[in-house]
Amino acid sequence: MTVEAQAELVIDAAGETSDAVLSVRDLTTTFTAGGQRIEALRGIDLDLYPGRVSVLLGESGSGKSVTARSILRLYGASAIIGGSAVFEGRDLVGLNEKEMQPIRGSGIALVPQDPTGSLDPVRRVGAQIVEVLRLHGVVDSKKEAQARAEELLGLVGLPDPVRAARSFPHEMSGGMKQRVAIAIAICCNPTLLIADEPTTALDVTVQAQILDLFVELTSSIGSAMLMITHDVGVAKDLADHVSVMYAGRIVEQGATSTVLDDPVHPYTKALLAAVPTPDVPRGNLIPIIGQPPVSGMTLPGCSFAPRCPVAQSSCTELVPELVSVELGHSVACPVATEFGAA
Amino acid sequence: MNSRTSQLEADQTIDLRLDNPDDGSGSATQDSAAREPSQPAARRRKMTLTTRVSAVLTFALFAVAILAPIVAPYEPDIGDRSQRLLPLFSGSHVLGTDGQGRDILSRIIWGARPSLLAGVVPVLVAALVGTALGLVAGRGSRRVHSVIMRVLDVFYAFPAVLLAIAIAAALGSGISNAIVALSFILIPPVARVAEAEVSRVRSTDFMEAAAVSGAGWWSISIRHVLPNVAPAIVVYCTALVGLSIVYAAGLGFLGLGIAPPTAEWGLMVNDLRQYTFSQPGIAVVPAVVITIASLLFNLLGDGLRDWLDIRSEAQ
Repeated sequence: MTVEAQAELVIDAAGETSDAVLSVRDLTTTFTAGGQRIEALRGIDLDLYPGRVSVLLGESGSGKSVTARSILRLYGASAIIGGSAVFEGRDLVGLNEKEMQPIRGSGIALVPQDPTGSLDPVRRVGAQIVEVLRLHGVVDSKKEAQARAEELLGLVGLPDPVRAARSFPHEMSGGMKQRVAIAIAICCNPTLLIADEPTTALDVTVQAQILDLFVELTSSIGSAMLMITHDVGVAKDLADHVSVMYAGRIVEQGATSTVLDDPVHPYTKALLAAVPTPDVPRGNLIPIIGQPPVSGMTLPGCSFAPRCPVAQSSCTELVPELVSVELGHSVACPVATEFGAA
Repeated sequence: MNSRTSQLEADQTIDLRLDNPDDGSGSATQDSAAREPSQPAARRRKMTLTTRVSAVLTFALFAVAILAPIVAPYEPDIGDRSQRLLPLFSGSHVLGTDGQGRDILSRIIWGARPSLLAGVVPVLVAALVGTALGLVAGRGSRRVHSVIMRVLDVFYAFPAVLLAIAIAAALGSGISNAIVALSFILIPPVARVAEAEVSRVRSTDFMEAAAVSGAGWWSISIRHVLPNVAPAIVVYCTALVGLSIVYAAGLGFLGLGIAPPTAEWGLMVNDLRQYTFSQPGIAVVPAVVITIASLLFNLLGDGLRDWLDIRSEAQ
């Protein structure tokens, strides 16, 4: 039922119908470790549209990164992936490693969380961009690739691209390295750009610059963007669309303005109440009592029920479905939606 | 030294210019101004004196071996009956003469050729094969890993020297057979080092980043794994040359290396050992040379490890 809601949302927010670049339906990811099954994702629905920024918001361990990695099929044989993730007409869940390779980097690119670890320490930055360009046959000659690499480094805001291309990663600061990582991600003009907490490893001042760069690039190359973050502020600033995750499920989903300004799900409400803002004096933050469920533990009903202030006995019996509460805004909480809590 | 210093200074001036907030790159960012790239030359730490000395001496050793016809004062295989068993520092024969009156210095110089050959070639072969095995084991499936590493363990079950002797004896004497035997026994340790290094690199983020960029198995192996594991293997193999020289001399000593009239260090030890009591000075010469040569490669390997240590620099 969320499919219609999503379709309406596009008309609503973008003012025109456009086909989703990536349509994720009921995506599940299960790890088996030492005979134990860990359900990391329990049915994710997500649609990403070109030129728009979607944010996956949630605390650590809620399954944000797992979602991105499952879409890119990075787990290999270590995870069982179910559901579907249709990207440009092909279901990624059914593809094998060989079929995934041309899609990674060229169709879907990932900006890593930690740029320091993600760049090969013994190879020059320029060579690492050239490698990806040549891999996907974007350029014809080595010379052209080199020129394109330098152009990209300039595009992501490095002051001396020629010199940067000749540098080794350890000669750069964290912010510079993240810019290089972004250059690598956008070098083949990907249709979908996934950024996995791209600013957590950076200073606060640099964070803002990198995030601005993302918004600029997304609109200029017209790709869809999926930003993964635990930072409500980042989501508020950048996102067109927000999906709030909790324990491997999306609990609330919709346009940023509706979800973050007018949350319906008790978890989203609690999350926002726990975020410090300049207006609220210190000490007035409300923590969420309790701990998120331990990975591997599956609760029979709503995963948030044990910590939920409005939980009822029925909450622990049935897994709540995402239900549309208004145009392009769906919530997985029967209690909140039934009583129209706002 | 001077050129390095001036390069350093040049870097600093460039850095200063870029650090200046008034430079033209307005939209450029604070973060990028903070730490500008410097020339690779500037990041290299200095080689220690020991490393430099051993590098120079190793180079000299190879030069002497190559230039043997020019450097050697006498013919190595032709003796002078009247000049038998001269002690060290006796006139024109600096290192004395052996039982057939052959100049020991000349024989050491000519003997460097087969001895270094048997030291270097097996290590090169083992480096190629061992790295390939380590790469496949380190990046392959669990089953491939088990098969390769367990087979290598079988080789470890035998003492390396005994195994080399057994292989060389089975193949027959001769320098090429000695080289084959040594190559065989050096493969397992190189493969183990390569496998350990590949395993270390395998779990790094940039390996996954390469996969995320759409790189395949071969592409990742050659462009990312090999450059990252190469320094460790090069360092290990440099030290291994020292060991290989000792093993080769051992095979020569036992008559499993080169045939007698030709000079070879191990053979010379065997030949001169009968004069241990009558002429102890000359008896130890080839042994001392073997020790020095082996030590040089070990010191060079150690020094290179400290010098090339890219991992600690990257942090």
